[in-house]
Amino acid sequence: MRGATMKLLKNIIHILFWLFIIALLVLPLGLIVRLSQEERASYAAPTAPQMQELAVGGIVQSHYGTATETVSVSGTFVSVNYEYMELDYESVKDARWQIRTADELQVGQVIAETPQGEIQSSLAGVVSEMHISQSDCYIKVQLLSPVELSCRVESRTLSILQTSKNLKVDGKTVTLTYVSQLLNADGTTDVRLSIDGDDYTCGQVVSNLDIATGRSFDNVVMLLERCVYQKAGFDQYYVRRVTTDGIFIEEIQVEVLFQNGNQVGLRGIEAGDYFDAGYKAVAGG
Amino acid sequence: MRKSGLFSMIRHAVKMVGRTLRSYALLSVTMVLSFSLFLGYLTYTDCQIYNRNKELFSYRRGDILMLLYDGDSERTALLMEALDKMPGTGYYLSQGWSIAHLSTTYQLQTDKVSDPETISSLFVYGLLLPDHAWADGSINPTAVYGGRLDIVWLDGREHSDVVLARDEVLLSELVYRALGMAGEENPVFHLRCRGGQHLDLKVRGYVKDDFDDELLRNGGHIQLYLSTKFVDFARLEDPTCWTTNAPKQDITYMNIYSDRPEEVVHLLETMQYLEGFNYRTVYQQQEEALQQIQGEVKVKAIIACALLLLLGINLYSSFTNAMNDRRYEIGVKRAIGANGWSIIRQFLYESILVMAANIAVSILLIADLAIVLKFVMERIPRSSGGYEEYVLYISPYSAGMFAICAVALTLVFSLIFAYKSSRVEIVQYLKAE
Repeated sequence: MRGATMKLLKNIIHILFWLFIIALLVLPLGLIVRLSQEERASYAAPTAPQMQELAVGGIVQSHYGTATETVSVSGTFVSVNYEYMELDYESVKDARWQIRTADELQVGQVIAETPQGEIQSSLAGVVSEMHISQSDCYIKVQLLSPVELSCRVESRTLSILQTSKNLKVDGKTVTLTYVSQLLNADGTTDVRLSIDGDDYTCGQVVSNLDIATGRSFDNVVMLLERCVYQKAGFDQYYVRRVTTDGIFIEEIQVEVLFQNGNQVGLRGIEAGDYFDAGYKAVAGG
Repeated sequence: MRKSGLFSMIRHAVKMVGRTLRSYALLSVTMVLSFSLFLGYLTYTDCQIYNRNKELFSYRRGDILMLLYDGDSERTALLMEALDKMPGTGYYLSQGWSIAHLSTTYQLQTDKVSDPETISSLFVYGLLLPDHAWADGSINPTAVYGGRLDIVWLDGREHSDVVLARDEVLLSELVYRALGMAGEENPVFHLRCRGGQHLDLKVRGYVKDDFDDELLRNGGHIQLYLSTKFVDFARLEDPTCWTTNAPKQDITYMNIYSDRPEEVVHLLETMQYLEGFNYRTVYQQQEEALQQIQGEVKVKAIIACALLLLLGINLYSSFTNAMNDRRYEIGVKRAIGANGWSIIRQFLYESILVMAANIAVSILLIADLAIVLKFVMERIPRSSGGYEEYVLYISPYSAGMFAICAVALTLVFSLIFAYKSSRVEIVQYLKAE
């Protein structure tokens, strides 16, 4: 009886011993895993702070306003009329020419000398073509007046120019005389505008000439033009609403009603809100 | 009484180990190799991780280097305006200009005396930094941004602040040595500026680098560190200055430091600057490195576990062999009246002694191999993965892993060895004999 108990006790000790050994073997595996976790935690990157997107430029408040619509254009005044100076071939075939293409001509200016005498210009303008070696002998002269403003405009501006009935610059009537059927690579269209009077000369360059469209808007939400931008490849206009501290809230799609100088009338935002005036430089348009 | 008994048992264990040296020697070879493999792997992995990343982690986390292009002045102005509003953020602009050719023919001082070479037509690239950027002493915007400029002053004094006069220059160490200025008392660097004017620049010191003078032979450029005051001195902004055929090649860098670089990067993203193209940040590089290290640490743990298991199997088999060699001795001891407990104690002490000795030998062996590794790594060219200074390093975690494994294995196999020694069936064994 005692022997059996001893044997049982020995067996229990035997089992306990091997369990202890197994535990001792498993323990370092667990400790390695634990140490590895600790080591990985020591290489963890610092937690990124919670970030708020800030306005890129200054902060501008929208407001109600009453304004007349204007569009701004830039371009060069060009000649649009020409005339031909017909010449007698027999009399000019031995002529010594004093002019060439692109020269400016005055009425009475000597343009050639022949054995029979001098030939004088009957027109004032710029020589655009000279056909003097054939029986059909003439000089094509681009006249210096009237002149028209040749410029490239965006689709929104073109639409306004086409629909407005009473375009004016400094009280003088402006007429859209030509619209190209071709679209330029930058999305603009070539147009020509005629302005009454003779305030402008051929070759004169103007930038940001404000043309009043004749339409006026009462109590419209207005914002600085620099706040309104387009994204590359899209026609829509957007503004970025921010808090008074300049923290970005949301991007809002807006409809541009009109432009008056550096202000635009917008639909889609509330008056009194704040907007980022710098993002246009980032968006590029 | 008990203490003297313990000592006598240990003394006896040492004596027995000496007597059965052959048997233990075979066991030791296996043990030393196994423990060395384990410790060697941990040490090598830690050394590689440490040395590969030590330079990057010596940089200031908040450094950001931007490249600015002409024609983007409106966006740049907006960026500067926004940075001005950010707390804990500062910046300065520096410019790198190709300013001149060498004016005189310099004898290139190389180790190959029999192969004298001259250089006379290299471009001179000037890095123009404002005084406060120098005073901060923090950024080298062209090479290792975020790294410190290690300046050696020729007057031999320590300079806490650096203000260069308009006609003073710091050369790169490569240029300073290659042009043979090391022996001169007051070295002067002669420039023929691109406008044609000759300028003599006083060399105040040099900036340490580890470039090879092959760089000069292979059409590299000479690097000068100048004050922004040099612009007026050399009339660099005068367009008539640029009369040579070579392009001006000026680059503007914006060096930003921020306590919260994440916010600066967020701003840059908002302003549609492109990472890697327009700007580089230290913290993003460090975070990428940390991610990589975390992956390597995980792999290290898996391999450590696998090695531990292999080591265990190896030790078990080696101890079993040693046990078989000692069966006769155990049988005799039991036959002359030794009890099980005294045999267990004897073999426990012996095995602990042997394990401890072998672990110590393994540590010494790996320490020696690490020194060899350092020697080799410092002689391999940097371009081939070598290091100027290879630091031997083992992380506390790896040391902990090894210690845990060593203690656990010593305990486990000493106990098994001792326990099995008490389980030898004397009668059966003697019958078999």
